[in-house]
Amino acid sequence: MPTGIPSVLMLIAAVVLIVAGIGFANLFLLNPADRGMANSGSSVVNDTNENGLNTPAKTGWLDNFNRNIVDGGPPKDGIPAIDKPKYISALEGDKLLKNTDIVFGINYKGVQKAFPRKMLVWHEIVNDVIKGEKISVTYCPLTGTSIGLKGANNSGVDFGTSGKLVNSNLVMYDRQTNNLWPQILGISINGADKGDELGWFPVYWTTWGQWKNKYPDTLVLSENTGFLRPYDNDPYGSYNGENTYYQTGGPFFPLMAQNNKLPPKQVIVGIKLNNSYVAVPKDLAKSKRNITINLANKTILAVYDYDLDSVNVFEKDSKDPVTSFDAMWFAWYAFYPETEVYLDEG
Amino acid sequence: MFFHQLGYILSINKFRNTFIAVFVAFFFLYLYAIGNITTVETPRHGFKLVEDWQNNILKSRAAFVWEPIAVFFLGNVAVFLSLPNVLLAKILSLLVAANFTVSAFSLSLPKVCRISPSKSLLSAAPSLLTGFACCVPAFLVVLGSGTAAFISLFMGIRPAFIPISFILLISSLYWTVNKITEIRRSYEPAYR
Repeated sequence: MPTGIPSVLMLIAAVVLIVAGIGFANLFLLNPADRGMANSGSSVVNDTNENGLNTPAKTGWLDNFNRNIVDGGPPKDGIPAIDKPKYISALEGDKLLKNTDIVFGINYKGVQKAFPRKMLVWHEIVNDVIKGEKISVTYCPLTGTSIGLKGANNSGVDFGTSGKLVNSNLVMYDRQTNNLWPQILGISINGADKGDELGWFPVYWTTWGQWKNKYPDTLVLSENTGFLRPYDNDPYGSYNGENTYYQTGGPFFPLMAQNNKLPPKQVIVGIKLNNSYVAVPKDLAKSKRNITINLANKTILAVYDYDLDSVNVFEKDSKDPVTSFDAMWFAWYAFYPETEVYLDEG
Repeated sequence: MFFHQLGYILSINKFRNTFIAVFVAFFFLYLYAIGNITTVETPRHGFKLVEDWQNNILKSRAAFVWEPIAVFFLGNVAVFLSLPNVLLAKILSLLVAANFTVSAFSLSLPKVCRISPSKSLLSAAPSLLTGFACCVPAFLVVLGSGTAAFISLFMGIRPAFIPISFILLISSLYWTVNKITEIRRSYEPAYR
């Protein structure tokens, strides 16, 4: 057989070399100054001036996130948000869910709804309207965060998935302005609304059995989402299985900051108030039942709810709820490296 | 001469059967790799068509992967139907099967001219890596987060995997068939 003719293997080798070259170039292009230096000397206190405008200090901090956005794989809306959610009764929900299945429950303006995790892992965002108000229930599987969000300044917005990630966290875009909003941050990192913060409402990370027991009249998100997905399958492996993404190993994507104070995927309750942050290991909150924290000169209570296996966080004096949600430690720290960590010190 | 040679090879029963077997095998393998054929925990039987399917036929999920418009449940197996995905699977399978078959035919030629059929599978390999699990390539979920350094690299080039497979498969097929033609002219007096 004549030699010197390009063979399939030579072609593949050429492709691999090109790919490796692109890969190395990509690594060097990642801004090393942003690795492990999320706050880069910028402070988020005094983030607005007397006119209420975002100061350079805060916008510089936001630019860090913008610079560290990476391609998550799917294109914009490749992971489709559910825009026309349909709901079924709890009785019908029993046909779809086991009592041990994880659901994200909301109790908003007296309306209770459960969003099965096994469905949200395929869609990440549900845009809904409750009593005339637009709200969104969001879930990022890679960071273990389920957060209730609504438009900044009470503006009604719909969110979609941008296909981008920062610190492994879902970066949403709003369909009204195309601005980007990392889910954990809840702040726009670009566009005319840069620096605006989304409204928050609590989402309870619990099980179907616990949720329907507490709210027997709850509605449940139907599988009639407008899309076809194998909702019985988890693309990241069984949530309760061993050696799956949810339990072991580190994140898949680069992080802006890392800290090994806790195992990377340990679930913490992340609490934020007036640019101050604290992480409470969830199992610690569960064992202590009531935790008192001094945060941003306020006394905060983190109270374990036995019925839902969740932690409610609120201001002691006003009883106002404080922004809080479960998260994997690595993700919380990557966004808020200045965070305090509440540890049981006797 | 290319198509004449190819037609000759496929006219031989043994190689035509090889072609059909590889076509079918790769067809299903590709659809499995992109998640259009999967197993489900809860067995069921039935068919479901998505509402407004006409507007979803060409809806893209990722580069060269489209949204399914229907699903067939066959016990623990679910088959998600997307017409563009099926068309792409057929074309890739044709090329893979053709490559494999002509390489298998080359094994009947003088020893120095034989071409391993496994090369055709190597050419198709990139196309099997286009399946993804939400944010992460499906095969990397299996390998684990230790591959994190590879992800940024992979994400940048994943849209090129199908075109790369096409280029490799077509060029390989063309080259192999031409080589076979030359060799047959050298060794088969009746072929000249």
